[in-house]
Amino acid sequence: MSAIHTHQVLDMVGSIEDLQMSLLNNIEDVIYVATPDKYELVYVNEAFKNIWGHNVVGKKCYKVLQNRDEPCTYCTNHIIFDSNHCGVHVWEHQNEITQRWFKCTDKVITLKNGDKVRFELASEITQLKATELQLKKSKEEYHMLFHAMSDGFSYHEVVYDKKNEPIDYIFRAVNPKFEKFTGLKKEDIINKRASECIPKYGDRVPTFIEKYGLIGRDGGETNFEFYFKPYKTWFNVSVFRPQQDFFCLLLDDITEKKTAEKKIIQTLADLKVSNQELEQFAYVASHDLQEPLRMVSSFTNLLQKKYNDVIDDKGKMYINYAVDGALRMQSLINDLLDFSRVSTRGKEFQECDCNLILGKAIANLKHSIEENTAIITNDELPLIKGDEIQLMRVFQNLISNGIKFKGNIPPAIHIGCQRKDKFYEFSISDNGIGINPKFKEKIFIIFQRLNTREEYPGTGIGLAICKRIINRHKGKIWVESELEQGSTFYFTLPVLKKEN
Amino acid sequence: MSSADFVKPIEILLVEDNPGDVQLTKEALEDCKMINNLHVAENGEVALQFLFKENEFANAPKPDLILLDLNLPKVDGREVLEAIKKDDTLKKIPVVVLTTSKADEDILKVYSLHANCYITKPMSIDRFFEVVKAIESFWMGIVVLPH
Repeated sequence: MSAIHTHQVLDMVGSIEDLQMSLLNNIEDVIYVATPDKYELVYVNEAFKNIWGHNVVGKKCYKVLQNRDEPCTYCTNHIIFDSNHCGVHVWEHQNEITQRWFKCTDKVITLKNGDKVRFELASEITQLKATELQLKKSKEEYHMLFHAMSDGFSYHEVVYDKKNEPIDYIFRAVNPKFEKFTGLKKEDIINKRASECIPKYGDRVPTFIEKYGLIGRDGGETNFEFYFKPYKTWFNVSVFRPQQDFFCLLLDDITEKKTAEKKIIQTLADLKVSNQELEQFAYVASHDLQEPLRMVSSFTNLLQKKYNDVIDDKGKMYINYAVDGALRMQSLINDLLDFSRVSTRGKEFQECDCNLILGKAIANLKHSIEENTAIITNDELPLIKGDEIQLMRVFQNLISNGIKFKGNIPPAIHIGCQRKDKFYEFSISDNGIGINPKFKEKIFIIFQRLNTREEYPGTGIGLAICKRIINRHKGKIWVESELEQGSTFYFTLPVLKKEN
Repeated sequence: MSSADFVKPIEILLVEDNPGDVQLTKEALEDCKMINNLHVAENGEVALQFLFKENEFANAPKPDLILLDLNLPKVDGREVLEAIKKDDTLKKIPVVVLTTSKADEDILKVYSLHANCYITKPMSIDRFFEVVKAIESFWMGIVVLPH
């Protein structure tokens, strides 16, 4: 192939100037030339026209490019036209009209007539800028996270021996929380080996270095709780591998959680002790308090039996009072015991059908219902979660009260139930003697009675036990009544979770 | 059975720390048909010495029936029961636990220690007398025991 001579090339493209023009108009970069004094555009290439329009030559560069009425505040003319400045000035700029980013190369060129003009070549870098911004943002986020995170964080490189077994690790990065938690200063440890920074480890390889090293080498992760004595602090330590031969360590201060846990355990232990004491009390009540009482009643009885002839009627009456008192004291003790056992002997809650529970309560009261020709009716009752035996007692106590405190007509008792939001509201209404509203709180207090024992026997424990049982079931119990108008006892029980 | 067996009094050991209960038991047994000798041990330690014929009890008779209270000073009734039921000779003697306690744990414990029966002392004197008589007639009259 023979050499191409210059004149042949010129033949092909017409002239060098045409070639230059063609190049200027075909490159993707924007090119313009403007006068420095009047800021008038002298030349723009095709790329320029495609963005800022045609017919712009002769117009003000600041108007065309930035839609300003005065020269741009950031105009670089004063730099490139500075007599001390030589060569090019390169800067980045976001165009005010298009919001596109450009890398601008500005320089002064001299025209044939000797005029010096501004020449700018601008390459679009919008995409690059976006990526850069993204990167900067994520770097900032990372930085913020790293510095502000509540966990202590450190980043380590594993050091191996010749056999590729981990023997040490190097601190590569730590955050302020890590410094605070461990007491190690960043400047003392970065790029140093753990065995240097934590001198007490000396030559030996502690098991945890091995453990972390293996994670750095083989992957996997570990998580454990650790008590750091000097700071009286509990940490949750997480170790994981972000890349081969490195591992990260996260320290989470869990002292508060641990303290709370400890407190709960202590409270549970206290509760256990107090329950045991209560049980102890129950035993004392059932045994030790009963024995002297039995002595009183037995010997007054024996007195009556063996010395009947020598005791007059008044004496016999005294004996009767003494025996009666002892018997009542025994009932009170038994009731108190019963009352205390609501909490100590309560069964675990189970799902149960209130219809069946009510059925059992009614069956237990069969004799009394028949004797008093009482009529018991009820609504369909729901399933609830509770202690079946205790709830049966509640129904039984309330129904038997309805019968016991009957008026002149045969007792009619209705058991109803309505759902009220997250609770079922049960009602037991009777047509009995009613209760003076001013006593509606008092009747739930243990051993409080509104009537004499002669009128209505009983110790006054029934409603107190009902209240204790309902409270144990997270419900409420109350009464609405007027004297001689009958009474309605209400109690609530939570609806089953699945029905919520 | 010879007629001499009827004459021979029944030996009853009452282990009871409450003098009132001792008195009541005595009075109840006085009303019983069978002739009985009531021996009283006021605590578990004395009861064991009596049963194992130790110290001043070297000549003590082997009881035919033991009435045992549970809550006793020093060695308590449960320990006494355990010792009796571990001894080959003594374990054949019927032991009636007679106590104030109605506690489930006591009842369970006592039966698992092989007590022959568990009775809660009744509150009324009439019932108490009835119970003592019933114990006596059941264990000494109805039940056939080994010689």
